[in-house]
Amino acid sequence: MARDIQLITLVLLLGIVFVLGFFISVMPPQYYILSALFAVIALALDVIAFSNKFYFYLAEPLRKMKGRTITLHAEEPFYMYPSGSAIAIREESEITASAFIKIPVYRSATEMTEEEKLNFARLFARVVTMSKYPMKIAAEQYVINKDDFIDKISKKLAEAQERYTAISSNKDSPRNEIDRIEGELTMWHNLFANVTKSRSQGQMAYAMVSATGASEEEAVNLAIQKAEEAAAGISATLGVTASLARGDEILAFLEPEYVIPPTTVAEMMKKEGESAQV
Amino acid sequence: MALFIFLGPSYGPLSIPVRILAVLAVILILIINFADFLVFPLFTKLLGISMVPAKGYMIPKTQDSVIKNVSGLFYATGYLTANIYNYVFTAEEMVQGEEQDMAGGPDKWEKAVMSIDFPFKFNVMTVAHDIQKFREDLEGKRSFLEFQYSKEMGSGNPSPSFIDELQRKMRVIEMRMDRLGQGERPVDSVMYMETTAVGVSQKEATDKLTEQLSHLQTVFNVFDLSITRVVGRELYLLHKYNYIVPEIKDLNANFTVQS
Repeated sequence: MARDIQLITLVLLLGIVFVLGFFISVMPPQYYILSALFAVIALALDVIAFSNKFYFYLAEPLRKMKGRTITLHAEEPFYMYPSGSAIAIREESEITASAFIKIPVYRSATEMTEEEKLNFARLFARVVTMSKYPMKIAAEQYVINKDDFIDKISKKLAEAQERYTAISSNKDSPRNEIDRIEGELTMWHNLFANVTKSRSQGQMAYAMVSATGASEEEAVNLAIQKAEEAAAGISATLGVTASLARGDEILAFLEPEYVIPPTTVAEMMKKEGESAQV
Repeated sequence: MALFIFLGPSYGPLSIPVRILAVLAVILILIINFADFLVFPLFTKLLGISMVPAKGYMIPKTQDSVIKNVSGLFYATGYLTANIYNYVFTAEEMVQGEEQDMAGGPDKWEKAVMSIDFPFKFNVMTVAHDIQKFREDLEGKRSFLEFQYSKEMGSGNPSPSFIDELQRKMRVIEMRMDRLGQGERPVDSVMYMETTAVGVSQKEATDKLTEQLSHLQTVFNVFDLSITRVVGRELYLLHKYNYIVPEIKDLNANFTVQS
């Protein structure tokens, strides 16, 4: 649809340009100001017509532009389908769904012989050339999410701190009990310091396919069907168990805050700041 | 039209300004179609225009990153092209040592990844051609070239340069058919890299992003890739392709697709 409108716009603009050109050519010389005006309009339309190929998508948002911000898409970039097996993207009247396939490859090049390395490269090339429909294959390196772990440790640390304050403020508290809680506090402190000291990274590979449908259900079902076909092909070629990603696994491929978890990074940044001050 | 205005009727005393505008229009059309990554960011930078590609995301006026603010943390994502220019299915001859290059791939990848301590993604968007149809097309082209060749040879005064040209084209087709016979499949592909940096301010995030992209450029040079930072129009498209795998006609319309 958008492509048709784009083509019609191009033809319309070029049509106006040629009409203006015709008027310029038949205009008597004494109307030179009008000729020049037509020429300038024709040139401007010419430029617009030839930039239409790349910038057509900006036409409507430019018209609705507020201040100095062009809003290309006001909605969320995607919606997770209720089953968690695919995402749906709504663009004007079109609904597209995308499904993701996890490709678990645990072998390292260091443990392969030269022949195995060549075979692996060949198999990978076969995976890339496997699909008759467009497919995206990606290898991702991400920061391992320690948010829950950090939360748990900081809660335990706070609890231990509270108990230590309470017990140490009481003069009758037994000395061995104070020592025990002090030791526990130190343990949580050390654990917290260690867990945020370095950034742990993981790697994963995945493939992605998309399908368009008249309804969300149709698009999702088509995308899942394509993904299952691709997963079977990848599994057979690489000898791994490729499976469909779901829910949070999909978000890890798409959302930056899943690639770099906020709490993990915030703690690390705090640590970096502290060491810079020292 | 610009040429008609340039060479066409007289505009009296306004002739010179109109002709200058015609030349500028031609230059602008050429730049928009072949180097829009120069014009578009310049335009948005001068006018201070930022873009919202989707709710929660922002492309700043510099048009070089996609920013997301999550509870006070700024995530800046940037892209690099990563086309393998030495791989050409259309080559006349197979590149010497291609197998050794392939075998070295897994090692090079691991070494590269080991030296990267920030998140990144290497993306390959690909679609395979229908082999049968591709072979039939090649056979059709070969038959036509053979016909032209025999016609030229049968003429009284064959042109040596034309004969050479035909022979070269026939060799390319033979080579492609041989490669098909060896199990290689023709594909259209677009490759790019993506990395995300995080900071407590937008500036910190974008500065870190620039550092990360430079590091990726250095590290992935071993792969003989053509690596360039993506700015302008293509940035929005690559962001969109995170969620949708485009049809091949859309890829062809917007990117240099490798065959």
